Amino acid sequence: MMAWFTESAEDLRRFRVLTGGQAVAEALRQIDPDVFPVYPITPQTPIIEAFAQIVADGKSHAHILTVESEHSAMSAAVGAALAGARTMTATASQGLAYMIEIVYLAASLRAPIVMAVGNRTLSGPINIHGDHSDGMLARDTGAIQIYVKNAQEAYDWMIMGTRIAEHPDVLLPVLMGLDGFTLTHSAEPVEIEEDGLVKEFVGSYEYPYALLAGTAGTYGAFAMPEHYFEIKRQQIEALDRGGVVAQRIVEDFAERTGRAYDLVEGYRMEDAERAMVIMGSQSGTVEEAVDSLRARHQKVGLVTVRMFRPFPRQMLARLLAPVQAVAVFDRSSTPGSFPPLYQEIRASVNGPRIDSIIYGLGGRDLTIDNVIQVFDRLGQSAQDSNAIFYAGSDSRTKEG
Amino acid sequence: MSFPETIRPGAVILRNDQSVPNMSGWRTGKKPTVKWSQCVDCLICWSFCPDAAMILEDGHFVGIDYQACKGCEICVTSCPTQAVYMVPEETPVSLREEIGGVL
Ligand code: SF4
Ligand code: SF4
Repeated sequence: MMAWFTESAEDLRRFRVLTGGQAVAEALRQIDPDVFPVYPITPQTPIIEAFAQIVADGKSHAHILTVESEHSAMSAAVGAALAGARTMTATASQGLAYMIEIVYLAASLRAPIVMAVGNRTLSGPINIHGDHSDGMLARDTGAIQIYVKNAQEAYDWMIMGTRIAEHPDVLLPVLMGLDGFTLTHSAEPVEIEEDGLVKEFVGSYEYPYALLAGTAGTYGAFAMPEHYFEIKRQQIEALDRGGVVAQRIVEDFAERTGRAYDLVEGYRMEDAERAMVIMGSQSGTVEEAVDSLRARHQKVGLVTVRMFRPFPRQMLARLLAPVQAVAVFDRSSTPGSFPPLYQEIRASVNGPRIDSIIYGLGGRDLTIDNVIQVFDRLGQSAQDSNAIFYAGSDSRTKEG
Repeated sequence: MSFPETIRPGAVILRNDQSVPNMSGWRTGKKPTVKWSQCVDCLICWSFCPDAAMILEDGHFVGIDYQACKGCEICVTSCPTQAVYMVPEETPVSLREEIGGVL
């Protein structure tokens, strides 16, 4: 959607050329959180660099808490959020891995912390480039997970994510993933809304039992077997409600900004016989491949999953049930089994043949040719291959 | 098993949510009680009870806290005068002063 080519001159003034990291920082300036505990890590660093500059320039009142680790960053974030401060943070890769113990606590304590994750692979071998291994490690923390396609979406979903996290029916952390380097460090035009619109959209922070608001209680009490199960179920149900709440919030956002998002987006799916499913920035590559195959009269389509938790099962079932064959692209692995997105699609969709494709580990590019190869293979047989294919990794290196 | 009707999000507990936490979920149908006429207030049961369920007032043994008692019967075994004995859970029991026991 290259909308900016057709905008009026007045509208064009709202566009700025920003990296994904800067776009997140711009959203942070407008949301103006109270507390931002953070520890630097590539490729998240551009976010905190840009936001620290904004705070230093007096354009946000946020208290940036420079802590000694990501574990401490999330611990401080939990405390601040329960004390009654709108709290956000940013991290990536090993940083998220180190944070995860406390992300579980944030979710179970229902601390609505919004975090931007510059998705990067996990060591080892040590590698700073993009894939979704870090986000998938946080898969079962109980946080809402969003994966965005470009810098515009990173900006928009920081704003929508704040509303989703803090909604009284939800009260859960939101993890917004933007692919490391591909999005965090690459600049593109981003439409920035008026400060007033964003402030009104997110509203004020209203955590119901704020420590500093005279309603202080006991937080994080020990729960014996007779209580733990029910408390955990409450948390699971709150995450499920997150999908319904998010749907309402994207509609409100569309009304105010004109940018309409689907939690799961279909592209040229109307009469598609073969479809790809993917999350994150490489969705654009598949779009190109779909366009070139459609030009050759092949009935192919693309489904981009934006919300990974809660997983929009019904939406995916509706989109994919009529298709003959589906290839699910995962940018992470589950050694010893099928990768995460594939498992989700398998559990949600009945009917089509479904193939598992792993791509892009450690920042490897996914080319249009890679995608076309996968589409070709999908057309060859109606049988499940029951194997994992590695797109863009042809050569095998023997151990020895 | 007692269970609060509502649990707040995040299991936050506010001041008046549950005045006495119930930790007695492990008792299996019987609870200890005291034949006050036989009790010599030696506090041996108090010193043996692993859950600090014996209630003292001004240093005197006055009754058992059933929110804390787990029903292990150590008090029954430890009492030198056989003043402590087990009764079915539903049996009404009294504190020392309620039956006018002498200290
Ligand atoms: S039964 Fe066990 S827990 Fe209960 S009062 Fe006696 S010693 Fe204490
Ligand atoms: S051990 Fe027996 S006699 Fe001594 S205080 Fe306890 S109940 Fe009374």
